Amino acid sequence: MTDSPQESTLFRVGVVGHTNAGKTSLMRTIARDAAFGAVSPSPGTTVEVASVKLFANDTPRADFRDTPGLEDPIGLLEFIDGLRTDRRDDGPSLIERFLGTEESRNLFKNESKALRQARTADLVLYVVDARDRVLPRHSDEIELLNRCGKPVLPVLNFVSDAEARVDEWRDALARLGLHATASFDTVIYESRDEQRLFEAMRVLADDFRDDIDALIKNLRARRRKSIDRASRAIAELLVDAAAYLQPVAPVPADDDALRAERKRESEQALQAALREHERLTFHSILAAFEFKTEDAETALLECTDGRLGIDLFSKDAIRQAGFGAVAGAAGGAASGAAIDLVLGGMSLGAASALGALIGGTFGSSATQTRRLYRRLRGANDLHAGDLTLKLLMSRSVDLARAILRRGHADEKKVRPEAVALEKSVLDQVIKALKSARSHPSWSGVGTSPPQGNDRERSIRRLAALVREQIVPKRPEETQNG
Amino acid sequence: MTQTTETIEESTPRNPRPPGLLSYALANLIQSSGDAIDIKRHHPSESTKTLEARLDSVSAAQESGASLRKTIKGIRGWETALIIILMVVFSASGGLAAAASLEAGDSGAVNIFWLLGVVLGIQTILLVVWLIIAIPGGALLRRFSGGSLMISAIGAIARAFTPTGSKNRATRRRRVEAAAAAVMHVDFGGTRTRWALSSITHLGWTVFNLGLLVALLVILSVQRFDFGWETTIGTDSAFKEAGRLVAIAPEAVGFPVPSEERFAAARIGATTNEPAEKDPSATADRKDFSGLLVGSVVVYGLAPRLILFTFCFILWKRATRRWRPDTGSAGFAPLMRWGARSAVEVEVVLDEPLTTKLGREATGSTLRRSSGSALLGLELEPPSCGWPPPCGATIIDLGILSSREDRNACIRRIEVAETAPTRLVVVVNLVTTPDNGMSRIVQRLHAASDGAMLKMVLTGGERFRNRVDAGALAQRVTDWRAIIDGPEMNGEAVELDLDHLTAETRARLAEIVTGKGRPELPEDQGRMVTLDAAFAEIAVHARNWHGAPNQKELLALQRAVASCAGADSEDRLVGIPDLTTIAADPMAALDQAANRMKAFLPTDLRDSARWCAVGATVGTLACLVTAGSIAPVVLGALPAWLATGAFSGGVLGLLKTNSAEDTEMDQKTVASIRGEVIAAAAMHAILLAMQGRGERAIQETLEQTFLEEPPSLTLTNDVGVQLGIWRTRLSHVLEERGGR
Ligand SMILES: Nc1nc2c(ncn2[C@@H]2O[C@H](COP(=O)(O)OP(=O)(O)OP(=O)(O)O)[C@@H](O)[C@H]2O)c(=O)[nH]1
Ligand SMILES: [Mg+2]
Repeated sequence: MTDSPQESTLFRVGVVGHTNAGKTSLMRTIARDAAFGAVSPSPGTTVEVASVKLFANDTPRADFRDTPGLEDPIGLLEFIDGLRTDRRDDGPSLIERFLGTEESRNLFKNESKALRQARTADLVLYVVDARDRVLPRHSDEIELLNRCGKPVLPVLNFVSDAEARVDEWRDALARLGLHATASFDTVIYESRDEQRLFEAMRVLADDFRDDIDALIKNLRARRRKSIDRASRAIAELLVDAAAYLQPVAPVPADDDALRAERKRESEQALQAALREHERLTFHSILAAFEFKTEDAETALLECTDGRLGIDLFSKDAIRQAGFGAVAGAAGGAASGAAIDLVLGGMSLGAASALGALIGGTFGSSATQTRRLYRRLRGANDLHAGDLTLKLLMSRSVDLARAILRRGHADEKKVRPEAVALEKSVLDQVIKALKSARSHPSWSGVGTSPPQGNDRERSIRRLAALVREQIVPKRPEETQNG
Repeated sequence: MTQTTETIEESTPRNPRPPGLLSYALANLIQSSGDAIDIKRHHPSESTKTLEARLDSVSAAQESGASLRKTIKGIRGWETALIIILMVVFSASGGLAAAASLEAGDSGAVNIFWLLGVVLGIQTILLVVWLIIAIPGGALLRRFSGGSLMISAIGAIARAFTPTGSKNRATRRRRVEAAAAAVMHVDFGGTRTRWALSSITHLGWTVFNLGLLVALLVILSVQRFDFGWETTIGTDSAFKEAGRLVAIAPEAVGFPVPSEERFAAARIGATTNEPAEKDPSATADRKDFSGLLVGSVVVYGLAPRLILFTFCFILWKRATRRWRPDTGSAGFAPLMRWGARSAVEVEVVLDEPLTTKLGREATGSTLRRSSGSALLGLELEPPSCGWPPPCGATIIDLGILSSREDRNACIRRIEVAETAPTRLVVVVNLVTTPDNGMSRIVQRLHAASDGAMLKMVLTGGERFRNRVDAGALAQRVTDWRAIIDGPEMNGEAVELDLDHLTAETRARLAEIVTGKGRPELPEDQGRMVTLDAAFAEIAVHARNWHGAPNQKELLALQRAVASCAGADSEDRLVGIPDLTTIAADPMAALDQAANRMKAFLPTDLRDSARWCAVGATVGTLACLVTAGSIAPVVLGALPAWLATGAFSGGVLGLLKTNSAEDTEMDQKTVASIRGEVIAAAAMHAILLAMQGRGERAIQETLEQTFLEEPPSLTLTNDVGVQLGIWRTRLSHVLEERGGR
C-alpha cells in the first residue's frame, strides 16, 4: 500500500525520552551521520526538533524526528492532570489541551515540542538510559507518551555498559504494558541490535510494514557492502605496497658514502609513499563504513594511544602489532626488516621481469623495460619488506574491526583492540602477495591505480582473506551475508 | 520550514560522460598526489540521484575538479582527432587500392577475379580473423590493452600535454596522467576493449570501402575498361560457377550483372571475344561487369563492415555507459564522504520563541522561626552507608524523593512544620542529570523552607567516573552547581561520595550538615576507621568475584582501598615512583615499585616466596593506582613487563589478561591466589593507614600481624574471617605500641 510513499504518508517516528538518554546519539547512529545534531552529557542539549529521512532504493521510507528531552515529566504530568475538567477527558485530548496552554510555550517549552512530535508520529521510540534505576519519573514519562495515543516502543540505550539493567527494565516496562522493547547501544554498534530495533518497529507499525522491510533489507545490504569495500581497500593497499619499487639512484662503484646516502634517500621516499598510501586506505575504510566526519583524521584517528597514531615505520608499531620478536631480530633498526633491497644484476627480480617480458605479455611497458635495463646494469631498487606488509595488514584490519563496532554517536577517537593476527594468516597474505611482488606495474602507490585482470584477480583473492579477518565467521553473519 | 544545507549546483559546464568519469579522474589524482589536494565540503543537490552523479558533482566543485574536466575534454578531443586522422588514412588507402588494382592486363582486359581478390580478399580474411579473435571472449584483446600499452599511451599523452616550460610541471603532469588514465580506462579498458577496437577496425574498413567505391566510380566513369577472366590451372567451369555465385548477391540488390553466357564469353583468349570497339553488346557488357564490381564492393565489403561497425559501436557505447567506478579504491575515500547520499536534515521550528519569563514563586511566609538541619535525597539510590548517612548530629530526615507524591508530601511537611529548617541539605547522585525537573524541585523545596541555607551533596562520583571521562565529570559538577547558584538560593555544592565514606569524608559531611566546624577525631581512632572501611571494601569486593579476580577487579579493589584512606589517598606509598617517572618509563616504574615493596617487607616475611609475591603485588598495584590518569599507558606496558619474567606467575599473572576465564586454574590455585590478593589488599590498607610513622614501626606491625603464610581462601566467608583475624591482631599491636 505504500509502494510509492508520498511525503504525507511517510512513516513518521518520534524519538523521545528523558534528557541525556541518548536520543540524538540514536539518531546519529541510525542516520550514519556523526555530525547530526549536538550531543553532550549536559542536559537540554537538543532544543529543536530535527528530522532525518531514511532512504531505501532512493525512496524515502521513514522520517525520524529527534526531539528535545523531557526534563520535568513529574511536574508536567501533574500540570496536565490539572487540566482535566471532565472525567471523560481522554489522553490525546488532554495532551492537545496542554499544547494550547501558555505553559507549553514557556515552562514546558522543550517537553511540548517532544509531545507534539509524539502526538503526530506513527510510532514513538521511547529512549531510556538502561543504566538508570527504574524511577517514578520514568513511569510518568510513559504515562505522558501513552496519552499521546500512539504505539510506544521503548529502546534501551547503553546496553553494552556493565551497569545496564536490561532485565530490570524489561520487567518494569512489561508491567506498564509495554511488552515489545528494543535494546541498543549507540556507541558500541551491533548490526543485529539495529536490525532487531527495526523488526520491533515493524511489529508495532503494521501499516508501514513494506517501508520497514525495505529499510531492513537496505540495512543488511549496506552492511555487507561496507565490509566488502573495506576488505577491498585493504587488499588493494597490500597489493600496491607489495608491488611498489623505489629505485635507488646509481652511484659510481667506489663511492660507499654516496651509496649509503642514496640508499637512505630512497628509503625515506619509500617510507613516505607507503605512509601516505596507508593514510588514504584508512580514509577508505572510514568511508566504507559511512563515516563522513569532515576531517576524519583529527576526529577519528589522531593522537590515539592505540595503534593508529603510531608511525608505520616505528618500533612501537612493530611492538604493538605483536611482532616483537622480529623487531628484536632486526636489532632495533626498524627499517632493516621493514624494507628490502632488491639487488641489481641478474637477481631474482630481474629474472622474473625478464620472464614476464618473454612470457607472452603483449608489450612490456616502457617503464618496465627501462627498469629491466637498469637492473641489468646493476642498479638497485627498494621495496617494502614482508614485515611492512604484515604491519599494513594488521593495522588496517585492526582499524576495520574497530570501525565495524563503532556507532556514529561515539565521540571518542578510534581505539582498536590490540589483537594480533594469527601468524598463519599473515603468512597466507604474504603468499598471496607473491605475484604482486613480481609485477611492479601493479602498484598504485603514488599513481593512478593501474587496471588489469591479473591484478584484479589478485586483489579479489586477497580481499576474501581480509574479509575473513574483519568479520570473524559467525553463523548469523554467514546467513545474513 | 525546511532548511537544507546543500549548495546550489552551478549547472553551466556539464560533467564528462559517463557519470563517474570525472570523480574517477579526481580519485586517480588524489591517489597520486595525496595530501596536496584538499577536498572542500560540498553537498550535491537533492535531485542528483545516482552515486556517480553525486560524486561527479562533488568533484566538479573542487578546484582540481574543474581543471580535470578541461583536461578530460582535451583528451577526448584528441581521441576524436586521432580517430579522424586514422579514418582519412583509411579512406585514402581505399582510393589508392582502387587506382592501383584497376589496370588492364596484357590482354587489354581487366581480370575481374584478380581485381575482386585484391579489393575484397584481404579484408575478408581479416574479417574472419576478427571473428575468431573477438567473438570468443576477446580475452586476447583485453590483455593487449590491459597490459602496458595503455600505460605507455597515458605516459605519451601526459608528456604531450605538458609543455616543458610550464610552471607547475609536476602538478600538471600528474593531472594529465590522472585524466588520461581515467579516460583510457573508461573508453578502452576492461570489457570495453573488445568493442572499442572492433568498432575502430570496422569503421576503418567501412571508410576504406567508401574510399574504394568512390575511387572506382570516378575511375570507371572517366576511363573505359574491358573486363574478362582467365585461368592457368583451374577449370573453366569452376570459374564460371564462381562468377555466378559472386553475382547472386549484387544482382539481388539490383546491380546489373553479366548473364551466364556473357560471363562465359568474357573468358580472355576466347575466339569470339576480341575487344571490338563498335560492338554494341560490348558496351552493355562493360556496364554489367562494372555493376558486378561495384556491387561486390558494396555488398561484400561495405555493407558487412558498416553493419558490424554499428553493432560493435552500440555495444561499445553501452559498455561505456554501464561503466561504474570502483568507489572503494583509496583515492575515492575523501570524495565518498560527501558523495554518498546523506540523510536529509530538516529543522522544524516551532512558532513562538520564548517570551514570558518564568515568574518566580513567592517565597513562603517569613514568620516562622527556623532551627535545625533537614536532609533529603533526590532520586537517590540509598547509598551504601545507609540512609540517612551518618553525620554525627540530630537532623530532620526528609527521606528520598522520587515520585510526585513524595515530593508534594515533603514540601507539605516542610511548610506545615512549626519551625523551618535553617539548613537544607539536598543529596543528589552525580549520575542523575541535572535537568529542569531537578532544578524546579530544588527551587520549590528551597522556597518551602523559607529560604533556608541550601547545601548540596554530590555523591556517586566514583560510579559516574567509571562511565565518563574527567571532562564530563567536571561538566556534570558544574551543571549541578548551576542549579543552586542563583542569587536567591546561593547554595553550596560539595562532592562527597557516600558510597565510599572515609573518616575524612564523614567529618566533612558532618560539617556540612551541622554547619559546625569539623569534629576532631583522635588520630588512632581515625586510622582505625579508615582501616575498617578499607577492610569492609575488601570483603565486599571479594564477594563479587567468581574464582580468581581479573585485572579489572584487582584494580577496582586496589582503588577502593586507596580511596578509603580518605584525603591521604592522593599520597603515594613510600617508594612508589611519581607520575612523571611513571609516564616516562612505565616498565621501569613498575619494576621499581614492585622491588621497593618487596624490599620493604620485614625479614620474616621476605623469607617466604608467597609473601614476596604479595609484596610485589602491593607495589605493582600501588603504582597502577597512582598512575590513575595515565593508566592506559601503564596498563599497555604491563604485559610486556610481566613477560620479562621478573615477577611472573601468581597474582601478578592475573594482571596479564582482562578476564580470568581464559586461564584454566584448579580450585587449589584459585584459593591460594585469592588468599594472596586479599593479603595484598589488606597489606596495602595497613600501609596506607600507617603512613607517616617510621619505617621500622610499620615493618614491626606487619610482622606481628601477618604471622603465617598467606592464607588460601575458598569461600567468601573465609575472607571476612581472615580479615577479622588480621584486624584484631592489628588493633592489639597498635594498642601495645601506643601510637609509636
Ligand atoms: N557509552 C554510551 N554513551 C552514550 C550512548 N548513547 C549516548 N551516550 C552519551 O550520552 C550523552 C547524551 O547523549 P545525547 O544523544 O546528547 O542525549 P539526548 O537524549 O539527545 O539529550 P538531550 O538532547 O539533552 O535531550 C552523550 O555524552 C553521549 O555521548 C551509549 O549508547 N553508550
Ligand atoms: Mg539530543
